[in-house]
Amino acid sequence: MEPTHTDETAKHPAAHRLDAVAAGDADEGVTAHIATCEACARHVTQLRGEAAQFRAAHDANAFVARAQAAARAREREPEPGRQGDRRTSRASWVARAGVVAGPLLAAALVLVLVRARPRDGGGPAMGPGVTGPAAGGPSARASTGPVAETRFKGGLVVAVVRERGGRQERLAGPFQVRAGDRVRVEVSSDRDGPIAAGLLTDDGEWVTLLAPVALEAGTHYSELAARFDESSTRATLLVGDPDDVGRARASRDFSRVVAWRVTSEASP
Amino acid sequence: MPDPLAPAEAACLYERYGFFLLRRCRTILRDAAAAEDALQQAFERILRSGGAVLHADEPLRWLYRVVDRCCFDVLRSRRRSIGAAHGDEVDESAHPGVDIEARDAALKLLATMTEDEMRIAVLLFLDGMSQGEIATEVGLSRVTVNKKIQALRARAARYLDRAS
Repeated sequence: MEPTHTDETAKHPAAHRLDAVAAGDADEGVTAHIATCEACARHVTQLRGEAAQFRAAHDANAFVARAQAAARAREREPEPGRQGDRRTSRASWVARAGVVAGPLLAAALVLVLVRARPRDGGGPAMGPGVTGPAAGGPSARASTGPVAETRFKGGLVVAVVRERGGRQERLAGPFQVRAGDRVRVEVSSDRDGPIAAGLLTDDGEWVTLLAPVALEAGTHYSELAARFDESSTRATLLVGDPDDVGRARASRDFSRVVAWRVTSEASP
Repeated sequence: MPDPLAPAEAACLYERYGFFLLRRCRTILRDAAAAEDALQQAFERILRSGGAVLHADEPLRWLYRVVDRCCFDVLRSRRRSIGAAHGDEVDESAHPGVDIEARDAALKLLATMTEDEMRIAVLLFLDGMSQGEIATEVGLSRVTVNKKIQALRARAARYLDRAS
């Protein structure tokens, strides 16, 4: 195998210094270097162009607001089994979800608070009862209300377990939630395979319910659960192959995953 | 208690460096959605205790260390789930001195590495740092870093041999 770097490596500044100059930072050494190094000059020019496009397409204040909201939501939630400790990192949730491989893991729920800020125009046109699966997607028609289960292509059976006032209901389609509801996902498959699940709020926040995990054939519950508060909820539950879920999150094209709309209902 | 960072200051950092940070997350994780999560998580940490970045000589380098740690957390969780097989191909442009084939092999092996190995691999294969610079960065002796680098290169070579 060749060395990690070419013979010219030592002549080039480290990548973070080139990146910093492309970002607009001053670095006399790098500036002098790129004046005489065509490869680095080309690299920095390309990065500058890509960075400019990124800045034009991304709102920094909105990004920071989302990070703040996510941090606040996390700090409100107790860690599982440690009622007094309210600091739970996203990484620990993901790690917990990642080890869910055994059947019927009905372990204590990790609570994830799901909130969606109201926004003008509402969310995608995917209200309850309108979940006709797109071509190539889930083959079964979803419905509202408690039903036994819904089977999808590939032998995958998905249901949602909604806990409300101490009662549990199994739902197999778009569903509504009230303050205090807890929701987790039940996945059954007749074959081994990777899967992921989570809630994508209309303002882009992702709440993991089942981190990407290789599940054996059988029935599995997400170890993580979402708990809803009194805020208006507009989100979509996504379940499927981790790659498909990742693409659905990025593109909002839900045709290759199970996608159920989750909305608020009025309290009685 | 580390100083927090004001949202307006965090927004300025994102405006200036967001592209580079997200690009780094994508390169390490090879998963666009996971990269966005990792970057958001990094900014949560920065808002909570990242005031020191305002005094850093090299702010981007400082921020890279934060996002690296967030990405390593994701890789560790992935290690317990579906392993290193998961991930998109890296299409980010590389530092001019980096052997792209070796870099990509090392990135695919990241999830199987220890924390020290991950840090060294990223500094070596992504940042194009010298052994001396890496030793300073990770706080290990140059001899130790050299041994670890040789082991990483050997693993990457074996990976490439198997893949070819």
